[in-house]
Amino acid sequence: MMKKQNKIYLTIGIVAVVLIAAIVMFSSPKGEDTIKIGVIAPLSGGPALWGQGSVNMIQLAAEEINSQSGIDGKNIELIIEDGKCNPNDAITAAQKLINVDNVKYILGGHCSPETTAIVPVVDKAKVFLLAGVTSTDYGVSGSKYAFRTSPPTIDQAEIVADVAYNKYNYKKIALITEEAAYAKSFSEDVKKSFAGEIIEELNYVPGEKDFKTGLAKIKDKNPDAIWISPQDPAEAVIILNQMKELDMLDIPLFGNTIFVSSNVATTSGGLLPESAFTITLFTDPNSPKSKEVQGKYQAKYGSTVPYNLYYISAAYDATNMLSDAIGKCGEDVDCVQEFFLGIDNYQGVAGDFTFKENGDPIFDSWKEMKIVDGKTILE
Amino acid sequence: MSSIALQLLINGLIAGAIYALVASGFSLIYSTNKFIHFAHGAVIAFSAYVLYFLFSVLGLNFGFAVVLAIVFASLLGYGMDFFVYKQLRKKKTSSVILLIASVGLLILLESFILLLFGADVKTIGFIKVSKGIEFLGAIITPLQIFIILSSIILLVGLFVFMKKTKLGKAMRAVSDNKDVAEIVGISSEKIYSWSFIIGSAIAGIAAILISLEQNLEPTMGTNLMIKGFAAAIIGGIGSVHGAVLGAFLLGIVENFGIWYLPSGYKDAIAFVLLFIFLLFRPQGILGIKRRAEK
Amino acid sequence: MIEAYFIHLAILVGIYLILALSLQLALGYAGLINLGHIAFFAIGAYVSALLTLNGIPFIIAILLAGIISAGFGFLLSIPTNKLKGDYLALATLAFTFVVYAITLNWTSLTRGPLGLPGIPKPSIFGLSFSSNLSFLVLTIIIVLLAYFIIKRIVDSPFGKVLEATRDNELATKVLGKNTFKIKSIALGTSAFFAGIAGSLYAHYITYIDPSSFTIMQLIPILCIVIIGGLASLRGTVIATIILILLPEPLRFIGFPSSVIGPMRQIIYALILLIILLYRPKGFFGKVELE
Repeated sequence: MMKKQNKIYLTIGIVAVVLIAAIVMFSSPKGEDTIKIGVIAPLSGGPALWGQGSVNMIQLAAEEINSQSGIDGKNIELIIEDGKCNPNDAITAAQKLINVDNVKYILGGHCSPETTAIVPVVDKAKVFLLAGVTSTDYGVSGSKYAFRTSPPTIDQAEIVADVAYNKYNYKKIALITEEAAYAKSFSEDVKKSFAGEIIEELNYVPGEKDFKTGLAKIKDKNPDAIWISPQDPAEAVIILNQMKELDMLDIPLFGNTIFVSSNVATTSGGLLPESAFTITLFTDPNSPKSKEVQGKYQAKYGSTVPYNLYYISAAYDATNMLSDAIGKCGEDVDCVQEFFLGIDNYQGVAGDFTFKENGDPIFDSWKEMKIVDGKTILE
Repeated sequence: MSSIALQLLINGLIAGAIYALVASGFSLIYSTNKFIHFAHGAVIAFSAYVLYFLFSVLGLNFGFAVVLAIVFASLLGYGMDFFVYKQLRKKKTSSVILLIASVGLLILLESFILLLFGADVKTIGFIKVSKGIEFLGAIITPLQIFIILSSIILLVGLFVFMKKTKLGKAMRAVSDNKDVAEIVGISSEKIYSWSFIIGSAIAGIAAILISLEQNLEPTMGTNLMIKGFAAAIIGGIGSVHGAVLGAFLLGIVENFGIWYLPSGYKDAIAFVLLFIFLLFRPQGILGIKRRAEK
Repeated sequence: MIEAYFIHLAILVGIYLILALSLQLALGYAGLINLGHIAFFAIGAYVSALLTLNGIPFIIAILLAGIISAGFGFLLSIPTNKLKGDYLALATLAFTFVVYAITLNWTSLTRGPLGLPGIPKPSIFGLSFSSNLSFLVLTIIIVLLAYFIIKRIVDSPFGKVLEATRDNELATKVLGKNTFKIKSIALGTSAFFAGIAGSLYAHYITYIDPSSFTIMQLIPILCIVIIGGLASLRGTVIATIILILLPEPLRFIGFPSSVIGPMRQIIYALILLIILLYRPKGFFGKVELE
């Protein structure tokens, strides 16, 4: 018995030593000549569509800054962690970045559950957080040091509801919603704002493969239009496929920015109707700044900016705004926080940024968006 | 209104057919080997990915890729039996240990799929999506008709196999009473191997059809297995036709159920049904009483 | 500041430990194949979160989390009493899925996928446990309590009867023991501690959503219980520490996370299979499953 016990203690000892050694080896000592910025984004699963895209943008921006002598001569070093769009992983990632890598600033989360979980941690640790792709209502409002570049869905939803009811005269609609944070939040806000009647709802669990009966239910009620709010683009494609099979594509569609996206349009083989609209934050893809960044993205990564131009470009702007703040404030996080409150119409690629007290961006320029061979934007 | 009922019925049959493809192979293995082979789902998932790899990535001829995928499925199932279950059987371990081992195998294989292919959904672009065929007010696509027909043919085929062929009868003998079968000269080890080979081949067929209809993702195996064995239990887990019956029943109940209930509860319907059967009739509709209870 | 990271890991180990010990009670000592353990974890987390978000003090919330989970444990034992191993496993598995479906769909109660954010840190009689270090202290205290209580149970005469029921229920019944009552108490107690663990989890992460409570979360716990050895509390403790900490160095070696995630699962699965094949008693187990 003694021998076996010794073996076990030996194993624990080895694990502990390996763990400590790894941490010591791979976390750079303080005082090196780089400025470390942590990044948390979903790098696996469906949300990786915008998670990886955001990280790509951040890396692009950081490289640009570094090539122009960095921030006050010091280069930016990005430490990237996968939050998996999941509170558990996001918190462990944040803990590691804050306590092992000693970062003072984090660009993240890039998914609502990630951000919600991390916000309480950064306040306590006095670390500055700039989140992206986080559109739930409570967002970052609980904390002093947390800001985000994505406005809450309520603003978007109000406009969606208004456009649907008044411009397109949809008086009776059906809703299809994925039971996941962003998708659900958006649908709930649309429900609240819609002036007409909601005659049928189909709420599906992430991973659902068979919508035929739910769709049949909707078809039977004869709605003027169907609002589709997925979280995973793959689900959107399945829904479109089955709508085609059930001969439902003559019903007008509108949806969230995941639904009306070039990703879905392409993957579904062109099933996304050209009349389907969404309301998106407007970023002019043809502005010189935007074209420049899009070009750089294409050159470095070999593909066009994925998902949605606003959200991904916002990551570029976030990196730049943060470097400006660091340039002025160094490691003084209170100063960074004040800097952000003081930002007045920062003219970024994604749009012009000004932040409210609660950390949300003030955003007024919304446009209606459809996918026709590429993109069309109206108002 | 009745065209809706017909549509629901058709949807139920399609879903049921898919569950039947899963449940029948699983049930064959269970009735012969007497333990829950969770990793059956992994055989389905892995074969689907093999088909994807051969057809969509390497560009092989579709028919050829299909055959290879089914052969792969059989080999994988056989391999699991040979390397893991057989070794455990030698030690005379209980069915619970075999169950846990099969969970281990399921996780192992799914993680491999995740590692090799990534987490996003893959499609096998063999069949173009198009409007289904209209039939008395309800709609069904050719692929879906094919799936239903396949599961019926499979059911009939298995029935004939079990009743008429020598191997099938030997399997039933081992399933009923292993010791007596051995006395009569049937090698139970050989029968176990055969059950995995055939059961896993059925899994391969299931994989082909399901991946065409529903696309692929790494966790597809787990999700299908859960519905599959729920169907098998409801129908009667000792009997292969019971499993198929349970599968169709489950598909129909699910689809009629979410006509009245919020659709988010679709999966919950299956589990509540499973639970009710486990409570009141664990042997299922067609099963034999003695197996389920102590 | 590295200690802070270790403190975070230690808290997670503590929470998992309570889950593993309680599963050990049901699985190793009572022989109940309870694959529904995560459901009790979820119930405890949601109960505690909802109560504290509505102003109920933490100490009451955590106790109620345990008690309500225990209640579900008792309820679950009623219909599953007569079921044999495999069927019990399936029934409890079904229970996990039903609970998951409820957390996802009963949005008026649980807010569904939006989850419950802003769960307050524990505060007992004015003492606030908001720093991670103090939370670790709280966790350690609860882990020790759980360990001692469970140890007392298994060492007691009741524990002996429990093991007798596991080994041969018929014989135990013949000897006049009410095996149903015995199994119920075991399952209920196991659920109680899972609920407590759930409460700790909710108050540590301060945000819960249904995705934290799926069947996948059960796998590490199940592996821990079996690898550590059935009917061995010490084995469970050691296995928890090893299995939770082992994958952490991977994070630092710079593998992309799309590799780390599956690697972790593969390691668990391989160790599990190896143990089952070559050492079915686990490291310290006294018993093999049946």
